[in-house]
Amino acid sequence: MRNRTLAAGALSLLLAGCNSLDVENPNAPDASRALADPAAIEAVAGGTLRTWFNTWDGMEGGGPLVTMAQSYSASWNNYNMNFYSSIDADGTRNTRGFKNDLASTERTTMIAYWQGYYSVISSAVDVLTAIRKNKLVISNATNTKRAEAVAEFMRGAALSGIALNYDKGYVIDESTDLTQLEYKTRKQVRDAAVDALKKAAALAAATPFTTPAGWTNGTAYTNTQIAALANTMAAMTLAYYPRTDAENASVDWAQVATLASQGISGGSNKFDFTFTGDGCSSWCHEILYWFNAFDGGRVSTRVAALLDPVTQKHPYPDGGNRQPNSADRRLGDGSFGPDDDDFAGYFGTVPKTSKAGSDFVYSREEIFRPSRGMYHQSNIGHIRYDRTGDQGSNGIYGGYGPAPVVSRHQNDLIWAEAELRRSGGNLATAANLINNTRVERGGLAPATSGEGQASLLAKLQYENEIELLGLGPSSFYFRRRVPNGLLAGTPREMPVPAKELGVKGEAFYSFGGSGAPANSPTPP
Amino acid sequence: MECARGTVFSIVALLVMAACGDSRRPADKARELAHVELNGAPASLPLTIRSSGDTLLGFEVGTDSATFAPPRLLVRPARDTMAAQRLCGAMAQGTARPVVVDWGARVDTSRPPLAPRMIKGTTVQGIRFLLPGVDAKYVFEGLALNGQRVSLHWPVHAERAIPVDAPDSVMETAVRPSTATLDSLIRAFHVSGALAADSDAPAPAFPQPGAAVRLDGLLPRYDVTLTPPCLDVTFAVPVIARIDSRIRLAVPAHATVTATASAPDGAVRVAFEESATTRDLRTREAVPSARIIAGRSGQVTVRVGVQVVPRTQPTGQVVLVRIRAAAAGPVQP
Repeated sequence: MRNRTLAAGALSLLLAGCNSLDVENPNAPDASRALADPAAIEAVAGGTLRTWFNTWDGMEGGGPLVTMAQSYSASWNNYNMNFYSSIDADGTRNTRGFKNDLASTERTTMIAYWQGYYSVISSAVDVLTAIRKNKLVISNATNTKRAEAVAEFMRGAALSGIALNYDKGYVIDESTDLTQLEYKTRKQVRDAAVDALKKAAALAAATPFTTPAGWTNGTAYTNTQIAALANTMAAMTLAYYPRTDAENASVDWAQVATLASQGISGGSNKFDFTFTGDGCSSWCHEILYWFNAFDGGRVSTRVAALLDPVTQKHPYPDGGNRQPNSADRRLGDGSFGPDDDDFAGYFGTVPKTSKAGSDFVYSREEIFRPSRGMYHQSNIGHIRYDRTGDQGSNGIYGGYGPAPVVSRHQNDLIWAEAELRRSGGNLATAANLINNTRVERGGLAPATSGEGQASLLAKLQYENEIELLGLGPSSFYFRRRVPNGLLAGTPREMPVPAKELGVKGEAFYSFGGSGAPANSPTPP
Repeated sequence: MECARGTVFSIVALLVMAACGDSRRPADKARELAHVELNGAPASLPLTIRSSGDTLLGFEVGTDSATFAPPRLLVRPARDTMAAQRLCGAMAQGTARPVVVDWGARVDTSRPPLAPRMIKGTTVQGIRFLLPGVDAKYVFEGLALNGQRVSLHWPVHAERAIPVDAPDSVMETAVRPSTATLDSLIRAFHVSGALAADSDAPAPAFPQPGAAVRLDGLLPRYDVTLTPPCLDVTFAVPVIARIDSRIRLAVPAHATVTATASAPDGAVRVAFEESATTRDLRTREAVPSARIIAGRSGQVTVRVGVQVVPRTQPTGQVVLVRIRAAAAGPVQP
């Protein structure tokens, strides 16, 4: 038996110097770990579109937002809608800030967009790493450029999602060291998103290509359309970014006007960004699945009252609201569906007449639980994207079929707002853009440049209330920029999810309610 | 600066059970013989190494009683395969977050594990951390290349008060023996010897909840390295319906990699991004397993997703994914 006993002091210093405290980090970035198979890279590039779509249109993040905005209404517990969209007895949401702690079931709202958009970014960066750093070629130069452009487009779109929803986030590209991630402010994330989208637009414009229809489950896009989409999304990012009406005044509206004019309604070939649902297996317009099925979700009485203030009262009155008779063709008399007792009996509808609305339906049925507050009820449903005309299960009611997620009308309205707000803006252009929906869809008296900025802004607001319904969480981004657009106590942005804060050992924080500000201070 | 190096000790050990009141037959004990070498014990440790033929390995210091229980060092077959898999899962994803593993005497996990760090030696790797309290300990839990569990518990004391929010480096240098010294002891181990199969019963193919380690990260993109002996790991992956999570694997070159998944309430789908075959995503159909042979680089990416029936099945779920890599060549202990 050997006995080795040595004084600890001096030799421990010696040994400490010889035993490095650095331990190999198994997660050290390694460029060679990037995907190296061309077909796999191309599939990953195409897959970013599906992941972005399911995130943007997902109810886990969007359901609370669109009901908090009082654009749609639902008091189901699904997706925490009941908690976040309900109203306290004092008319505020002071008890309903975002619950960002690991013990709360309501924390899931903060997770969805973070996980979804960073999934997009992760895949997009893998593609960009393979192409830009490892010089991978996908069958030919054109397909390689296509994959690069789409990956950059989706990286920008996902960064936009982070900037619009969170007070801070990570900006990640192919040169980022993922072991040294540092937060950027929401403004920095926004600017990075706009830069990426502009880059994508330039890449797409430079190389003729057409994306496979399978990348959106049904619609192919040319390179010029991808470029236009990237410009529209850049305009959206800037315009939708403000948390308050005060921040809204600081937007670079001139840049928004430039981008929107080069967007999806800027040229002669106007189009929507459309995806096709597959019954919500892998492709799901989840917001439409809930809110274009008017036996499950309704349009808030706040919006209904704008469409027909005579018949639709806000808040919901005892006994409900009667059948509308709106001058706006999008509502009309609210009739819908077949002259069938079973159909009308279940849905509470009036069979379709010549004055049926293109977008909205009237229903006598009160579908929400009274115990959760009758103010959630509404007699107006949204059926704009129901192509079956009778809530057929093979349409959006069942999660099937094409529908836009970003629309050319949306681009029109962003462009119009930019013209109204920028220095030297063109009121005639703004009026024409507003009339694309006000007149052509709504059948209302046209807006004119002569009525001035204030009146045009009011008409613009009205169009936003209607046209943004169902386009992901767009209606929330619009409402939080309107003076008094959200009830007191409503959070205006999300904190970094508690799980991620826990991984970093950071303190939990949140927004909304009486105990926290509605949003972070405006970054410098 | 040249490090002081100790004499190599070559000790045949019969461990654990002797100290814990082992009542198994000599034949069973013989199966567990492990060859443990100590290639250069840290000279600063006041260490007495006891060996008595082939019966016991012990590290003792002057303050130990004649029989230190539980022994400071345990090397034993990984009988608790679930615990071994959890340890492998933590090591594979590179997290130093300690997982719940068993010691001869159960580790008190009510105390916060502090200053976690991965330790990799030539034949032993694992996780070490500090447990605070009156009987503070340095704890190492790991695996040898031959699959045996290696555990080291070492009482430590602090030479000065350590603030509650002190960074790891302050704690590591304040305790005695220092963590660097004990880390080097771990690295000095060389465990070899063939590992007899504990059971002839085939392991269940599907992921077992008890074997799972949650995949943690700042982003929904996980990097995992599978090296011997940890070629079979199970992860609990947070997934949102229709939004895939990706696990990037580094495995031995040309290894056959299988991924098997289960979801609590939905149709789970796993696939390897590098796979030549693609499945139509339009149907709601479970694809619970996939297999691929890794290339020379050993890099493959597992994509994990779940499909749900809207309004009926929850959107956010935790999917169990078991990943196994069968190396192309024999594992070298």
